[in-house]
Amino acid sequence: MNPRTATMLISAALFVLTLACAAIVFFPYYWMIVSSLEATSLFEWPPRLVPSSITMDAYVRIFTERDVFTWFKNTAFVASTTSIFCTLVAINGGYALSRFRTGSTTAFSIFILFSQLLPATLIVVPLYVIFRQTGLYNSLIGLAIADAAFVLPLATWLMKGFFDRIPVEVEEQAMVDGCTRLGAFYRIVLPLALPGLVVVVAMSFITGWDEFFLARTLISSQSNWVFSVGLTSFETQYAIAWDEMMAAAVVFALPAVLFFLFVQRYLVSGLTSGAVKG
Amino acid sequence: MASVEFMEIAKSFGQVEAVNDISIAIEDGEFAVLVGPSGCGKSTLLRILAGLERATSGSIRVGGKVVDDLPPKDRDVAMVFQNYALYPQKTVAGNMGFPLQMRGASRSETERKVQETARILGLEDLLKRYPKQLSGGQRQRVAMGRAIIRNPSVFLFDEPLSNLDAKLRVRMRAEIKELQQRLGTTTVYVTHDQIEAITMSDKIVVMRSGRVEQVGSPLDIFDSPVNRFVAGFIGSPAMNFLEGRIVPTDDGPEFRTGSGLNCKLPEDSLRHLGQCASIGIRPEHVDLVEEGADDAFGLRISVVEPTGADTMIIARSGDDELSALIKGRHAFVPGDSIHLKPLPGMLHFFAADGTAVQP
Repeated sequence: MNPRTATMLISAALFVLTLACAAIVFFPYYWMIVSSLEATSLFEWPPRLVPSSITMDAYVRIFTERDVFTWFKNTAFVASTTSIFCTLVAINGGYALSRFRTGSTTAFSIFILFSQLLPATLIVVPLYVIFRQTGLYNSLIGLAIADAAFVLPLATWLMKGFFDRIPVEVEEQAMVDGCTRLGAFYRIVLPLALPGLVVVVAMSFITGWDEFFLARTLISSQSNWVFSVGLTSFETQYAIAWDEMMAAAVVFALPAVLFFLFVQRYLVSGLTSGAVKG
Repeated sequence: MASVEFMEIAKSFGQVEAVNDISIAIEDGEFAVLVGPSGCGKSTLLRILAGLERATSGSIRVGGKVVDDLPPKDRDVAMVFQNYALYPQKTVAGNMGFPLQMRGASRSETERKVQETARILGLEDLLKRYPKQLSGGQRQRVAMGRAIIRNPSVFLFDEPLSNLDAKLRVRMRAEIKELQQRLGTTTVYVTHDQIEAITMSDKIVVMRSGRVEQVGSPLDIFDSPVNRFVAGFIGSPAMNFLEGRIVPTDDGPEFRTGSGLNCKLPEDSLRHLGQCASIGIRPEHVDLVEEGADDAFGLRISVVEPTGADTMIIARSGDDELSALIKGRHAFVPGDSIHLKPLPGMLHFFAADGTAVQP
């Protein structure tokens, strides 16, 4: 076999492999969409990959009979608040850990990384007690704070990494050129860390958007349900409304997908920067 | 424009003393170079002047005004960093205009000054480019443009030529000097390259281990170094040192090294040179002489480096090593014997502790 043919064969094999991987990853989403459009298909054997008829009934029902708008509104509020809170703390914290290095800040930065290792199940009971005592229980702000607390260690480290890569001279130059330290940070340093900022915004937004465990534990009233908790309400004692659940899941996933599509250009550069010498 | 005065400046980082008891006065319009080996505290001193570090003790005056408590932005100094520190997200025009924007200049005034500065530095065609699209020399010019655009009282340069290749460095050296002369702005320039120090400065401050060793004009320091460190640091190729002692003989005083080289000294010099433990001879202050000439050192050549116009020789006798820059081209071969004689009156004498002994 000549080398040209071999290269082509390898390329073709890789292409097929990529397609197979993509199919595995995307099949659940496809199945979710298909199931939302045709109620009977989910448990048929052999499974029907292409629906025989398409109906939007499930979508109509979830918007008319369920409280989807409230869930949506609550989830958007929690995700945005988590994202804003987490980003604000992570950029300032990351900057401080990157620029003001002493023994205690180094110890602190390692300490917060360790806190990332603790599972949510370990913390949720003390968190529940604290939230009850401070009046944060059953409040969306409280849930956003709890969600942010779980993303913050990683987000802070991520921002620290980005700030570490920005030469301190650029910032000092800005200070000589007429900025205060804070001015130099916001005018010069932060725009340079934009890819990192986008990763933190995206990461914290998605965490706030799809988090279930804390939302289930720290929210009690139905009017404060977020989407992930609302989805469980399709499962009742006697039946599971699969088509409605899947339709709600599609509606739930859609903003997250759109958001990722919007920021993915920055995400890719943000997550991979530093991987190769620039 | 303004004078700069360091008054008993000291700075420690924890237990490490970076600079200690530094007092230097730089006149208005003067080009002062802080020079010394890595870690001597010269950059720290510059950063204290810029307001990027705070002195542990002492005070700094710019234009007669104490600036110790002023943040960098209020000191009216402009700085050029070694890595240029251009703002990557801004164009050349954006970089140069930034200091003006920060001072509240109008857009039209900023644009006009950017154009004017770009013309001075030959950057007119590059104004819309980003730093990553520029060569090293162009980046260097943009950094200078950003410094001169707001007409500061003092320019600060922190090893600005270190990242350039040798040829460009020589050109930029001349450009910076010319620009400084044209603008007449007081300049403090930090470098570890003594050639830069000698060629560019009105005043050299030689530093070592956080202390000032000598302050003076370039030629003063070259001709009359106060100690062996300064003598060896300033001048290229570096000064030769021969260890030995002065011995009175019937023909007058004579300097003798441990491995037997000797050299006659003027009669009247012995009185002052009793404490002399080594002599210094600059490589260019050595003459090639015939065998048997009076007071010549007989040595064996170990390295020959033709430079085109001159020939650099490194020759040895026992433990003594002497480098000599001999005018013209010579067909020497390593292993040849050679006779070298120091030019009269060009010797430097040093005591055992390294301080210069005046003849």
